[in-house]
Amino acid sequence: MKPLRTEVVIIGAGIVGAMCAYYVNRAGLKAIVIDRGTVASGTTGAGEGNIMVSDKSPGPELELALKSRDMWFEVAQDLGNEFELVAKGGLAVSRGDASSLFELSNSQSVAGVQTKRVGASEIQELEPFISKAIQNGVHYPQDAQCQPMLAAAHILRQLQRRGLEFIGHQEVLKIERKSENLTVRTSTLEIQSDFVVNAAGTWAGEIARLAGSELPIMPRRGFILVTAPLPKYVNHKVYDSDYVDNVASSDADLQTSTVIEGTQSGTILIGASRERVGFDKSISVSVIQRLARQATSLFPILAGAQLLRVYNGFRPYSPDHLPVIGADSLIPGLYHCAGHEGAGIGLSAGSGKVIAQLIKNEIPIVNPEPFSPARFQMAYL
Amino acid sequence: MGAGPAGLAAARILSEHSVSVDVFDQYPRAGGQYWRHAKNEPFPAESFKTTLTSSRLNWLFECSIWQIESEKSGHTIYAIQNGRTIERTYDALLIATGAIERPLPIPGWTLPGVMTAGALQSLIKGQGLIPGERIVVAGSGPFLFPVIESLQKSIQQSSSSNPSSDIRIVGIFEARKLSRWLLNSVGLLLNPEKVIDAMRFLINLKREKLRVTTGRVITSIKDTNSKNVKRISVMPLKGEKVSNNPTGQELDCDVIAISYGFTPDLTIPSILKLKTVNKEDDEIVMVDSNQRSSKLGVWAAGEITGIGGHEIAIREGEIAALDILGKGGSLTSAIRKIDRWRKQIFATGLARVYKVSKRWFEWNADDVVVCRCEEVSRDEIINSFRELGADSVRTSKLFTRAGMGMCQGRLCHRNVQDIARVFGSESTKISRPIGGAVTLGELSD
Ligand SMILES: Cc1cc2nc3c(=O)[nH]c(=O)nc-3n(C[C@H](O)[C@H](O)[C@H](O)COP(=O)(O)OP(=O)(O)OC[C@H]3O[C@@H](n4cnc5c(N)ncnc54)[C@H](O)[C@@H]3O)c2cc1C
Ligand SMILES: Cc1cc2nc3c(=O)[nH]c(=O)nc-3n(C[C@H](O)[C@H](O)[C@H](O)COP(=O)(O)OP(=O)(O)OC[C@H]3O[C@@H](n4cnc5c(N)ncnc54)[C@H](O)[C@@H]3O)c2cc1C
Repeated sequence: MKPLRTEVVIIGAGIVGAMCAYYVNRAGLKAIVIDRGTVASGTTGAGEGNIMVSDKSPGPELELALKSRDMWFEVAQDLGNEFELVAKGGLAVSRGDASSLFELSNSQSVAGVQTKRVGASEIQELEPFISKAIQNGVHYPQDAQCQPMLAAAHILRQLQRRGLEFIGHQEVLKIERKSENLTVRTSTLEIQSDFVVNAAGTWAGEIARLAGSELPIMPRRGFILVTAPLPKYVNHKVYDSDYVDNVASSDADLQTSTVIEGTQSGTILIGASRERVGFDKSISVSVIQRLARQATSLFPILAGAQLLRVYNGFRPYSPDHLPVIGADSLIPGLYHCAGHEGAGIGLSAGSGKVIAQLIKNEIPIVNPEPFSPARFQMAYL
Repeated sequence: MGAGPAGLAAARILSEHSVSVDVFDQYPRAGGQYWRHAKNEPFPAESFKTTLTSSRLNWLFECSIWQIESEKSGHTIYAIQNGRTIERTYDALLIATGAIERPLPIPGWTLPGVMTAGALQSLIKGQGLIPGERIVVAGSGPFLFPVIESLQKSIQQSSSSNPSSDIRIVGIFEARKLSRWLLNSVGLLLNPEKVIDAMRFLINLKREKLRVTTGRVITSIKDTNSKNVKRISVMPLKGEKVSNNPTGQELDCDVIAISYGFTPDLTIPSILKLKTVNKEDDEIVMVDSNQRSSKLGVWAAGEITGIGGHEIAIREGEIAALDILGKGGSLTSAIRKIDRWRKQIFATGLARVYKVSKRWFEWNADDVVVCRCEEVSRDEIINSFRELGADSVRTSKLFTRAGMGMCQGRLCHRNVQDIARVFGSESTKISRPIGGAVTLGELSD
């Protein structure tokens, strides 16, 4: 069988792989995206689709998130917004002492996030159905939302008209370095390329191993409650900022905080906050009950909402909870773009751009140092 | 779980032994789909009367099971009854939650007056109500017979109590030709009583000057200018295709009851992650000869282990109960197993006779709504495979939302699956993590 030949092979057709493909294609490189399933069959198919800047403290991730958020809108402009992208805004609220919320928002605003402190009456105006007990909050107009599966599918479909090749249902089994080339093998295919981008999400560690390298990406379970379709009771993405305090406390049981939002189809999604918290538990009645309790105390009107579905997915995370974006320290030509944990949708555009820039030897939009795979690979060098 | 024929048959045997049994059902009364009856009516099956009053059975009606957790110490059922949460742990579970109807989408099937044959049956049996005056029954499969029978009975009753009432069945259309019964000749030989049942049914029809037009299907339903009246187009079926030779016909009516059979309700089995297998393109719970599922301490009986009707459901319920009591190897059980085998051969043959062909989707207009809850059309589903790269019901659902609405795919999963098969997709296992109606408020208590 004749091997295929291309410049870049991207492993993984989740949102991260799709965005890598977008920017690699924009950079004028010939690319193939390969996935063992189809588009969005991994964690992207379980994500909520929030593109958030509000839940990140100042630092490299926030910097990437801010850039990435704007780039999402550029991608929609370029390819057509067929994935429900809207800047609906986020509202973080606090029930008790709001000082840590305000401290966070102050530092965020110094870092370039648009923030606005809101009091009881403004909160009621933004969210007429929220509990009257809520006195303090911060409005984040930049927070956006999209439908991530549609986004990944639409991006790949449009790119195929621009010369990208997408191969589904082929599992990568081997990655070999031969002279100047990398060869990616499946059971029936052989693809030779100059660069390989590992965008395999939760399974990125496995891909690194196939290439003879190492990457500590692990799965962390997260889940979401979905209600029956309702009138528009929730306008923004609303979350309980008290988790900032909860996480600081050592009480592991308190590590759930409600994140509530409506979708275009009318269902309300109730999730645990991304990023700072996460579960390693399976769906359990007690966790469902706790989330329901938190949701109804924030939005009492939701008490009558029927619970339709619960679903979960595995967030890919690295030991320091920052994504891994950059060149492998051991295998020349191999790049990683994975481990985005609970923010992979939001960070995907920026991450894809950084990968394309690193491959092209351009100066990346953010300092790539903190994201470098080398931080975990020193031990092997 | 489930007080239909399967659950009741099991309860009857269990109640004769000293075990304590809870029977859950989301309906207000026992009987399931087969013995559905109105509030003031006596229970339709004489032989179950003592079971219903047995002191060993604890009935939990209007109780919807939404979650089950299995641990070493037992299986814990979480249910809601009158807004209250019930949480109880059991050594053994018998799942007998029955089937759901399977409609076939045709243009106009979402109009008022168009209903599933089961919904019509429920109205007649549960409330003694016929929702119109000119009735058409159509579709395919043996379920059309009992529906027509109850309809006839109910019409007779209403005309004897009110002589001016003029309710009529104006058409009965069965897609499959009678000749296909050859496919079930072995089943008929083993179950000769079924021939007698069929003869009786046909004689009854004749007496009422009714006939079943076979080999014909409704291809569209439209509103007319007069209130409530619908006009249906009925076309002959040639092979699996709709043809115009001989020409089709149009007919006015106000109630259209359609049935294309049933599909097992795998909601509760999916929560327990029981192993399932494919039978005649239906996903069914895998059980051994004693109705044991793949999970220790969990049995399954009735339609969820394969569509076969109430008689098989009863046998299966009995076999499961005997095994729960440790009598799976007894002679009583063996006799029931032989009877179950004989009836299953008939049921399997029947499924072949009345097979709903995947090609039947081709009759439909592209924009026919397949998923009613989310209003997803056939061409949107096809587009998700052709354009967006969907490769299964699961991924198609992520793109189109088909099956994500109120009913969680109970109505459309099977149909989307058949569309998906045309694109070479493997079947997607049913997954409904929340088993029954429960509100966030009830969960918060
Ligand atoms: C419940 C939940 C809610 C979330 N909500 C949000 C949110 O609101 N906002 C947000 O930004 N993030 C959210 N996330 C996180 C987000 O979903 C992930 O970070 C993101 O989807 C990761 O995308 P990915 O493309 O890296 O991985 P994936 O989507 O998992 O893609 C990886 C792909 O690689 C393929 N693959 C793996 N191994 C191989 C192989 N050997 N050969 C070929 N292909 C292979 C897989 O099939 C898969 O398609 C949420 C996550 C969860 C679980
Ligand atoms: C709408 C409909 C009408 C039918 N009418 C007829 C008919 O008239 N004649 C005929 O021969 N066959 C009829 N059938 C076929 C019928 O399903 C079988 O012949 C027979 O009733 C099967 O028995 P079963 O015990 O397996 O299930 P069923 O009789 O369906 O009993 C299942 C029971 O489980 C309960 N249940 C399900 N899920 C839950 C839950 N989560 N929590 C609590 N309880 C639950 C249901 O309320 C139901 O009472 C009908 C089927 C359907 C779907």
